[in-house]
Amino acid sequence: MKKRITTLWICCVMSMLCALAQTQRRDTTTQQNYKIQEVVITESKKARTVSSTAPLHILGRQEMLKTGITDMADALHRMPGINLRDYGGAGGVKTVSVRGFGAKHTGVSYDGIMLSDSQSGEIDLSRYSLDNVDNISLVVGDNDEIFIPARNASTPATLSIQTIGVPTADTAPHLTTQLKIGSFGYISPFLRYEQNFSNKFAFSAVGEYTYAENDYPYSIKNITMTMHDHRTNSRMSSGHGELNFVWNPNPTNRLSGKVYYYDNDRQLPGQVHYYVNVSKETLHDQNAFGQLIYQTFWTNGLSFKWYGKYNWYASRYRDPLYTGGVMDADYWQREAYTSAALLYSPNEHWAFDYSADYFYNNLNSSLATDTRPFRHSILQSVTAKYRHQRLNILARVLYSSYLNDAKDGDGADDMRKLSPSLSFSYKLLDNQNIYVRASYKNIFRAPTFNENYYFHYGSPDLKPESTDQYNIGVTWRSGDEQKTSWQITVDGYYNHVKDKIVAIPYNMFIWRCVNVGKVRTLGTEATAQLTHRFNEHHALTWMGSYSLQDTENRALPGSSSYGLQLAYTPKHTGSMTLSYENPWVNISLNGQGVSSRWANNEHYESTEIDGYWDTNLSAYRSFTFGKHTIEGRFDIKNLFDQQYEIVRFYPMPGRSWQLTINYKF
Amino acid sequence: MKKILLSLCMGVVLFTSCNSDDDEPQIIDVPVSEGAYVIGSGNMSASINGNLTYYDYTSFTATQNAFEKANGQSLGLTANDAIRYGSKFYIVVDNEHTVFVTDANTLRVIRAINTTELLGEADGAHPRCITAYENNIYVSTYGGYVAAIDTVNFNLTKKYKAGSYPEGIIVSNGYLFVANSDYGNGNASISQINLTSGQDSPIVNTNIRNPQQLALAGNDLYYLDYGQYGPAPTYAQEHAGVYCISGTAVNLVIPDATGWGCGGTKIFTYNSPYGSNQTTYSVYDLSNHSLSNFNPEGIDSPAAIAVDPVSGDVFIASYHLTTSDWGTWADYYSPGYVNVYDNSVSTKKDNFDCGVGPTRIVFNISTSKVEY
Repeated sequence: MKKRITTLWICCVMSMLCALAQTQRRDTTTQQNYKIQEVVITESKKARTVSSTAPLHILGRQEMLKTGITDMADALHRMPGINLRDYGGAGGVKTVSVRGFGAKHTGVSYDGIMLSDSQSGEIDLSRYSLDNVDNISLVVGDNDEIFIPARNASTPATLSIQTIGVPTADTAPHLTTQLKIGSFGYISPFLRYEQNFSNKFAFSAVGEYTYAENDYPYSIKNITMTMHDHRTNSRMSSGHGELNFVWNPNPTNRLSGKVYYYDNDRQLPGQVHYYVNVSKETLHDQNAFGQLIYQTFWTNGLSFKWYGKYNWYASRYRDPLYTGGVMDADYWQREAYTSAALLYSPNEHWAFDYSADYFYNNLNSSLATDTRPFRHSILQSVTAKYRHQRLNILARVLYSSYLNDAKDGDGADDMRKLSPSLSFSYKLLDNQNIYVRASYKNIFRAPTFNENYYFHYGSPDLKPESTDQYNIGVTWRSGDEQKTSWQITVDGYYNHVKDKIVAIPYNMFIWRCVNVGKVRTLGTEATAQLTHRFNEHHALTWMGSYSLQDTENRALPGSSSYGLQLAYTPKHTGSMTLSYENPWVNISLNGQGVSSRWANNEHYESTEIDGYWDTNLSAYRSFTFGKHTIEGRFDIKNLFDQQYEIVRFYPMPGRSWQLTINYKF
Repeated sequence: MKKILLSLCMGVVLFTSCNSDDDEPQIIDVPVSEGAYVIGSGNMSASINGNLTYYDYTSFTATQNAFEKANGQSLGLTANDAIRYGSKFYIVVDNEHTVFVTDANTLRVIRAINTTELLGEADGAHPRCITAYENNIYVSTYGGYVAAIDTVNFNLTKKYKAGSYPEGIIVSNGYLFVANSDYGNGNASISQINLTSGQDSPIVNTNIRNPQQLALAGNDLYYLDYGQYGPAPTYAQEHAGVYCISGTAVNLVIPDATGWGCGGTKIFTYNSPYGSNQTTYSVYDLSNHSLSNFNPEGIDSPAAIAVDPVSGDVFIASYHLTTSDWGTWADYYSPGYVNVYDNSVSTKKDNFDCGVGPTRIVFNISTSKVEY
């Protein structure tokens, strides 16, 4: 391991030197221009979070740095309403559910196009690192961005990951090199190259590798005893590469594209055991996709966008502790996707969008019981947006058709559904940024291939799981030019899930999925941000978010789980950040925590998981020499060495550190 | 000290036996049943640990979480089998790869034997079932082995290679029999291993599909087989039942059974097949080869059945039910209960609560000296 780190260091330093030598003569002013543009974009986005008709949370790159966000999980914890399920460590699977809807209801888009997992319906966010991310945003319901594919409006909540775009001005090459090292054998080099070959064509390439032992120590309570051990069989080795281009042949046409590959070969440490530490499970994920987006504008108020994507995903699971490979399984998924969107804005008040999407998904596996299911999906949406002085109104109908079949078996039921949504925001006062907002959205999710087809588990005759969400809120934002600026959002919501797909047993070994569940969530969430600029060099920022979530299981009146809070759904979730920007070292102290949760819907005695508060300390500084910027950052995660679990029997790491050195020009 | 006492008593027995014609009182060993241990597997998918309930015959009360109370620690995930042997009580915990050796009366842990340490990780993973024979306990593992473990020093006496995915085991007359389930994948067998040589001459038969439990009666070997599932969409249960191997013949004696308990000359079974809430119960009497049905009062969804070899009482553990518009099914997450019946299962004598996922009922049998 040591040897590996040393080699990587040498590589990193070498590349920095090469880069330095190459770009001695470069124009500094363009760099400045980018900076300004970036800030402007982020700021205007921030302003959108208060005028948005539905809850919108945005974390930009600068803000993530300033507030000490270390990784995707950390960023997600800062967004109210998000409930992250994290199996711990760098290699642990991470999925998000929003406002009491299950993780299968959370859509995730990557550079404008939705990611999918037709087998499980859940996106593992541990795959996406923040190193190449410009911003992540969460929309709960439908907000005023209407020129989007129909599929992007097909979930109750959508998390959007936007990667760093390509520069728009100079034609010099730009390089970013970064090395992160940390506790428990963590090392992650990152390299990004970007260049405008002309003012019409820009290109970027990104490569990233992460290796982690994840052999962190933990303690776990066993009735009156406390057992101490460390995670084993937890190593991961993952890499991710991307090629991006943007081609602007003329000011009204734009074509952008991406080729993406991800590979993660990891060991799974599994549930911890009290008396042994034996695990041999492994999981190898591979994901490749290519996508294209074409955009054009006409003078008559019409705009057109076209999207295309092909996605391939393979996973390979092994458990040698079961002889004969009885648990082993390989899965392959494919998706072909296309979307066309037409926007018509006849005047400043009205905008209309029609979007039509088609996608094809299939799945096959190494299992003898595989029936090779596939699905055609056709989604169409019509959206109208009206804006007049202080009022914003948005109305959308989405018509979805899911047509199911299986090559070697019976197909699941087809489904067709019309889903409406309506939202508005109103600025209460002319001279103050105070808005009230209200929104309603009805949407559903189609059953996953596991739920439809998995042997001794799936049912082909499932109905979609439908959701209704209502939100009302108040937002208030001060002017940015003031010495003390602030922003507050408060929302209250009511959510309802009907025909929730639940697996019920016929006996211990055979379960079937049925639409038996109902869930009702009542919640409120608030965010606040306060910045005080002492002078041009010193600023103090405080940010906080809080969410109260009462998510009741309303399935099966009379059963032992009726009326109880759903498993793994905390009542209280919160985060807090204090950051101090200064000319020496920028410092951020931040934390996030949740109240206690239950590991099962029945709240069985002794399966309650304690709440926790996890505090992090982050410090960074950048040095600029002409066009060269070197940034150093040091993070201490879990400062007070709290031992906690998010998923029962999956302890999280205690105190750890991470050092990041970044050099770019 | 105990050993000396035992041999002394045995001497007395021998001596008195020699004078059996006399009018002097005789002292004999009589098995006495003092209580019942109920092993609960818990539920791994819901992160619920295994559990032990002890039902005491003197007070007729049950102590739930008896292992936790005695030791201040949990059994861990998926307790699967147990045996009372000598002065000790042994509990097999599958997902902890551990066999707990406890004092049969106090339930205090004497030793925790990691089968993965004892046999190696691959061979010792997932211990399943336990039996005892001549101062050794025998433990089967999903790794395909059976470990013979000395009950005094807990060292490995011998390691036997069995078939694929062993479950129930039994030792008799120098032979170890192992039900090799093959994880329900069809290549099942019953191992017949010579204890001294370790040589296996497995019994393979079309009627051996997914054997789970074994019992011996004379030279006849009985086994409970889960059978297999039919094709989608009904996945109907096929060929589950109790079979008898007699010489080279393998015959079905109790059709449709998914759980059993053996005691005296009777085999009690229940059948709760997939796709049906109709549970049926059968009893087979070995003495006259008669098969009849019975209907135990107050059982929702049977999880385990056992017969106290001393009293003949029949214990049936059950899950509670979850009911809805969609039908009724067993609640695998909440604690179950046990009903106690007489040997004809016509009278319910008692009832007590146990833990989540009752899976095995074992009796606390000791021997007592009786003078008559």
